[in-house]
Amino acid sequence: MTGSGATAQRLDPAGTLGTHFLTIVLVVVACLWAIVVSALSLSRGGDTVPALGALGVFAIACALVVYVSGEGHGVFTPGIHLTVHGLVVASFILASWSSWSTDDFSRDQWAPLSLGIMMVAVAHYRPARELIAAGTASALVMGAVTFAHAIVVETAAPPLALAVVAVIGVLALCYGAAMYSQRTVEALQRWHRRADVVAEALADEVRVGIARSVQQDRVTILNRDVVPFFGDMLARETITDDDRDRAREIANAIRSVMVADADRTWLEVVVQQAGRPGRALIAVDDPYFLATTMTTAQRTALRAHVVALAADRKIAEGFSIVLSRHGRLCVGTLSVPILSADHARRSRYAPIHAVMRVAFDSVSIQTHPPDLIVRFTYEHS
Amino acid sequence: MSLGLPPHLAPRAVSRSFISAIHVTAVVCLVGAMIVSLAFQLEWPKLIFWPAILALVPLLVVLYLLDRMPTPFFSVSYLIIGGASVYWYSLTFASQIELDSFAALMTLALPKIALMLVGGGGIGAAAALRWATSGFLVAELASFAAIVQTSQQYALDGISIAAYAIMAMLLIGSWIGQRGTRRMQPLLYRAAKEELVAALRHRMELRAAALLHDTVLNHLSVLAESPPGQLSPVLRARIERDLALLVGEEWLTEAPRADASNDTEWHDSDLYRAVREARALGLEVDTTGDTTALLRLEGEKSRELALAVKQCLVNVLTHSGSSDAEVVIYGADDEVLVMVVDTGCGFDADAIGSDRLGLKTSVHQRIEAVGGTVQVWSTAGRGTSIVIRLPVGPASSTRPIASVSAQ
Repeated sequence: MTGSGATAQRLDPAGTLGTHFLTIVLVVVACLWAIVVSALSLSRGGDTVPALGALGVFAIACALVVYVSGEGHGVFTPGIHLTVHGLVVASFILASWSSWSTDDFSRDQWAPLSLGIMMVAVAHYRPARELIAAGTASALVMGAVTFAHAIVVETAAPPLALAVVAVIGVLALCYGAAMYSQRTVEALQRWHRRADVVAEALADEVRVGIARSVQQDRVTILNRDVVPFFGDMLARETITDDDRDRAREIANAIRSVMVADADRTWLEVVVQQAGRPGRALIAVDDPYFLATTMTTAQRTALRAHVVALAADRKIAEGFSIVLSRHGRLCVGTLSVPILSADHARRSRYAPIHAVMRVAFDSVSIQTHPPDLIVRFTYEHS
Repeated sequence: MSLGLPPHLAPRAVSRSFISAIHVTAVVCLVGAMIVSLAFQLEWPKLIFWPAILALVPLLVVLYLLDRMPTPFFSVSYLIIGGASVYWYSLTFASQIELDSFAALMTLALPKIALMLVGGGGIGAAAALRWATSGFLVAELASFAAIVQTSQQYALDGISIAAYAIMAMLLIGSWIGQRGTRRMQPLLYRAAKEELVAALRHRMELRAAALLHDTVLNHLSVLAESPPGQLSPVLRARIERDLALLVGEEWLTEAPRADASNDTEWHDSDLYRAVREARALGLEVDTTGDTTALLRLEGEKSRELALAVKQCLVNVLTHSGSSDAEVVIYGADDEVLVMVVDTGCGFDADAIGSDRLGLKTSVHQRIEAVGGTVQVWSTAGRGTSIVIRLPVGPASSTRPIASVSAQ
């Protein structure tokens, strides 16, 4: 993904997974702030039901952020982001309602700062443009409600000042989060461009070696049968019935080698190369050659996972990969038998699963002792 | 491919992003504080709040400079000038209103938070935390001095403390997060590198298969179907030439990348223009091989070749599902061979509908009209290679090679 819609999560899913801990901490802080300020306000009076309702709605928003940013979930979508904003704005309105008839203005002020903290928590998951738009819209609603409330309550402080104070908590953290998101995305995109240049240089470097190796494989086949046959026939300058039979035979042999090459997918090559000596090969069941229809990003993610699993001594023999087709949808299943009860393996591979979640349409990880099952889907290209 | 920053770049990038973010937050806090001061001034015109607005102007200026040049000099300047600004700002409010409401406390906290968000020089969480602590202490001391001077009661500012705590948590959390998730990055880098090499090899194998199919297998098929007797001179010449090429030369080892050669003739060629147009459509086109061979094609052939290749590239973009293709140019004594290779979904040539005229009309007929031949080698799910051969010399009604061989 490029441009203003790019997110750190899409560009660096494994790295973003590491910020999940921080996201949880920030959400907990936002929650605690809401609870403490609400408790202080309620101790001075006000409607308990809307105040508790506000806390309840805010808790739902917090739970949503923690869940969708976790390792068990896919990409943090704009819909989820906007839902979080909607919930927090709703909780702010409920909190304002709870203190509407009182002049204690401090009670409904937890929501702007809590929303701001939540926006910092989701900075890795959403693009700057969206953070600014959603944050500004939410801040304006909060500012308008605060302004109206200040006029109704007839506070000592100027209503505009109170509205600005309410807005500033959201805006300061929202714009800061947006800048962080933008700068992180720019850094990752710069790095990707550099990596592309390095990859191109690497390709130039290895191109000749690969070409020679591939050519040598073909020349070996040609030297064995084709060259002596053609040489003999060119010397005689005549075609006999034996030559015709022999030509057919050699053509069939070459064709069968080419078909065998064509029938071996990149995944089978990876599995063969990744296998450990003395252990059974990883089984690949791909009757429709669906591995060949994966994109480069999908191949890379799956390759990394297969290589990591093959090298893991806690993985038992019997590891298999099955690719099946359901219309245009391809479904892949990795069944990984894990030795002992070490299901920390799942967490160990979480960064790769995060990369797979971005590369594939959907990824689900399940543990059916002793197997770890990784299912992924993608559209047939 | 989604690859994260390598360990040697990550801390610097995270620090830069973080500093930019907190500077934006500081600007919003300062502008907010100015608007709040203005609101107070408008509400109570007889009181004096406007000096608070002026107090924040130098802070904004130094913040701008600090963001442009995050050096220790500007960081220290920000703290010194910021301390004076916060003192002036706090003094203005403390001398005009009672500081006992949430709004007043929040108003006073805004520039203090901005001063804490100094960012400063240095890389890493520890450096940022040191600067933040310095900013926090300077702001609190300045505010304390101003409030005490007006004989109001000073109380620790909970809002600023909360902001400081959040910032500290952010810094420590980012640092912990970075440490934990980089362990799989080397594996992902290696996978990306291996994928690149595998794709390159696959493309070479496709080209090799297409060439073998187009030469050796073709000759063997013709021989198998030929009546016993004298070997056709045309077939003999073809076999000799192809054997010399396949066994004697490095037919897969390419000349330097055509685009890198900076060859003006290549850049002026019709084929280059076709490649450029395909790139403009969004296709990644890699061009390799002997571009000087194109010079031996006279005008009409050169133009028709370019149009045919363009059609092939459009087909890759439209039908293959792949976003990249390779154009390889070979030059032999009597002909020029151009191969368009993609690693897309491939197709079954027999299953192409009659409405798909691109390959038939724009490629086959066009090339055959100037005496060349086209061979398509494609397997569903494995990619496609289209081999276009054009004889060197003026256009004539030369029969296609395959037809000659089949006689």
